Amino acid sequence: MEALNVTVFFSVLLALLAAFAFTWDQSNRRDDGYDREALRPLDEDGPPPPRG
Amino acid sequence: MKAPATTVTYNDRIVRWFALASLGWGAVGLFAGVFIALQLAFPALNLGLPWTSFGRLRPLHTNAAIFAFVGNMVFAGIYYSSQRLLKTRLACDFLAKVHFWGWQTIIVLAAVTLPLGLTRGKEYAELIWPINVLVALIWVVFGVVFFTTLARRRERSLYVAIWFYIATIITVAVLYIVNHLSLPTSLLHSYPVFGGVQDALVQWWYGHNAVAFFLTTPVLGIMYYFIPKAAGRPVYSYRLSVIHFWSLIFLYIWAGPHHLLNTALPSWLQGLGMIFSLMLWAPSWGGMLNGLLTLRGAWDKLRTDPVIKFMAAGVTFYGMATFEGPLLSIKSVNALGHYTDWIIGHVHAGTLGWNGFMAAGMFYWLVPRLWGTKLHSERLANLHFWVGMIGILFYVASMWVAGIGQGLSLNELTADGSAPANTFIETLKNILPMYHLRALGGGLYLLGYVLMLYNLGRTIRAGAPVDGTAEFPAEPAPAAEPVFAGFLNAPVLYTLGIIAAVCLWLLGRDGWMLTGLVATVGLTVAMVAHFELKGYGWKRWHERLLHHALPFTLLTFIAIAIGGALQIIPSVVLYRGTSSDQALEGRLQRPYRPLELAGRDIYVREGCYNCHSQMIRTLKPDILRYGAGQGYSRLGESIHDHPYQWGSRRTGPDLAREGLLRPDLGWHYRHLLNPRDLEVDSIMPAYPWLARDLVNRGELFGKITALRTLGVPYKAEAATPAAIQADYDEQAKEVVKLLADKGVSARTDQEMVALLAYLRCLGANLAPAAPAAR
Repeated sequence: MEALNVTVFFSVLLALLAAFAFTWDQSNRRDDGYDREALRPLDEDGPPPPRG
Repeated sequence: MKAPATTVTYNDRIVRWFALASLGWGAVGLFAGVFIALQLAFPALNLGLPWTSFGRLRPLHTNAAIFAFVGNMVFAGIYYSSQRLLKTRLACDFLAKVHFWGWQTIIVLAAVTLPLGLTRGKEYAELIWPINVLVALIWVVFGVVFFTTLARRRERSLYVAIWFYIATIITVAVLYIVNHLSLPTSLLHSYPVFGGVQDALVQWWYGHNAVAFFLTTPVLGIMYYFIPKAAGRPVYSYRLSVIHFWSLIFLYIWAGPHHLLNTALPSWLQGLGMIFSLMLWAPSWGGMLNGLLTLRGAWDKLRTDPVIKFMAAGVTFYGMATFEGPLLSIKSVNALGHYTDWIIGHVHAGTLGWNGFMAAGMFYWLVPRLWGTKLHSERLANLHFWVGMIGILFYVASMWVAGIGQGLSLNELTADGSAPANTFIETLKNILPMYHLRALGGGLYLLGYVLMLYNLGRTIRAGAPVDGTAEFPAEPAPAAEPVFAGFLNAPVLYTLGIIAAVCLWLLGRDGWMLTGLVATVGLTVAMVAHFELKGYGWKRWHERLLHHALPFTLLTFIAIAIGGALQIIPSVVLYRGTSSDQALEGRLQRPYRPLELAGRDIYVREGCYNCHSQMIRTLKPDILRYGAGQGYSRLGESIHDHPYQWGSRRTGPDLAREGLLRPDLGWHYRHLLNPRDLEVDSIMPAYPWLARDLVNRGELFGKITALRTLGVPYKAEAATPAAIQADYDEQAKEVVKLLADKGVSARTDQEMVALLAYLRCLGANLAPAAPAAR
């Protein structure tokens, strides 16, 4: 029973974290779908990354 | 008016050196792997020589693959990408050279000492103590080069690849030092300070996290740098990489006990190991998806670009291996898979698929740039990909079939459930064809690797070394905030506060637990409110932390230290008892007599633990097969073993109670001389030198003194040189007489006699009527 409780607890925790991660990620998207802060390492020696 | 610029020339020379070293040592490691795979299929290939026997060459293979091949590849990748991400040249060329030559010296020393049988007897931690010291020193040099470069950076914010490099440097240092704590008995020999269950726990805390922080986190950093560069696309999700990083490094460190499921390891540790291994699914797959989705919009390159092909396959193998790992960590699945070839297949999916293919992708991208030319042949690189891929599939599939097949056979009981249904040798016979296929798969992988060496060799010959350059505005870098500002900022303080509150919540009792819970919730709410009300938001919260390398490194250390500390410290405190002569679980091992100790050191020297476990799991098939009527192995039965010898693979049967199961020393003598004289299908090497070589008795006093220092309860009067000699002679004569009764002529000073004395005492060396520990 204890193992079941722990499993359920952590499953719910993981599901919540995954939902949070997805929401957090999506709120950071530009119009072209690219992540706003994910330009590196492409910006070190060239133009900005190609758009979608 | 255009601002004046300053040109930075990167130190790519050191990158070239490490790349060439990795390529060279990789061939050695893979060849050794194919050779020992062939030894398992054709035991005559052990050649009857000490330094070519499987038990000594297998550590050579694993060390070469991990520390020489992947190690040098990781250093090349880190030095190349760090300079560009931090927009500065390495801080000290001299120390970088010391790092390179020091690391190659370590590898050469390993390649010499391991075949000579100089070993600590712990997997992936075999190297003897003087080399351990050298490894620690060189690692510190690496850390100094990296962190001083970090301090000089022009780019304030640390990119995700750098986070993984920081975690690697910090964690490997912690793991390596703790697991290599030893008490030397001579220049070439030492005993680990931990014994029995503690040694097992520390070993797999290290062993599992060597996979995590030497084979995974630096390669993830390389993935986060090289895949966007090769694909010309930004990382799919920066925010996913934040979650990936912190959750991965925090969770990974707890998972070590999953290597010890169903053993004498206390069940609370087994439970923790399993739960955290299962939770690892999420960050591992988050990282895999982040890597693969970075290729969106560039999938067409998979058809033509070998770099993308290798890296996409490498990341996919990472996903498969990190799916399989948690699966194998479920206790019931582990009951089937542990000690079988399934584990061998699992780790090779990781090393050949993830590490090997990521290395190939990186080298195909890097070598042309480092030598200022084009890749000699893309077609040859594509051929390498397919030959290597087929090789991996042969390897992994054959090990799955062998492992699951043998696991099922070994666990099968007779109809009335009173005995095992199959003998060990029958199960081995059934999987031998898979061993041939495994050797074929490994051979194909090696062939692909040789194609890469040829291709890159031609590329290098066509070009000339080129050091990368970059121009930056000449104005001085923005002044860094004072160190204390780095510590005393809201993100760091909130994080530390919440960690402390969670610890109080989880570890405290009654009022303290409630206080911890309230503080955790309160601080979390306060943190969110603080940043939202001040208009920062989550992005700024972490971004600010990334501007401060020192607090970032400190938080990384805390994240990786929590799991290890909470698992290891209680086990060290609780399970040794207040006195080393108290029984654990009703049993207590007596200290080895001098002759037995000499035999045990020979057992360790020959690497017997590579194929034989000494751990009867809490499973009925194990108990019926190996238990000798004494049930499963208890904590107290191996508590004085420095190092522990529970093993991780049963290519041969378990030996925990061999002294009870097979007391006939004449059989053992003949079996060790040539196993196939007694068991025609055996694949065990022959050990003829054990009947020829003599025990060095002069070492025993120092060894027993060292063990006494470590807490093994030898009586003072039994630990004098004269007493040791007398006891040795007495027992050796007894063993020689037992052999004579079986028609075997032996001498008291033969190594064989010592080894037989050790085998005879296994399972029969319990102290009588020991008082119970608290």
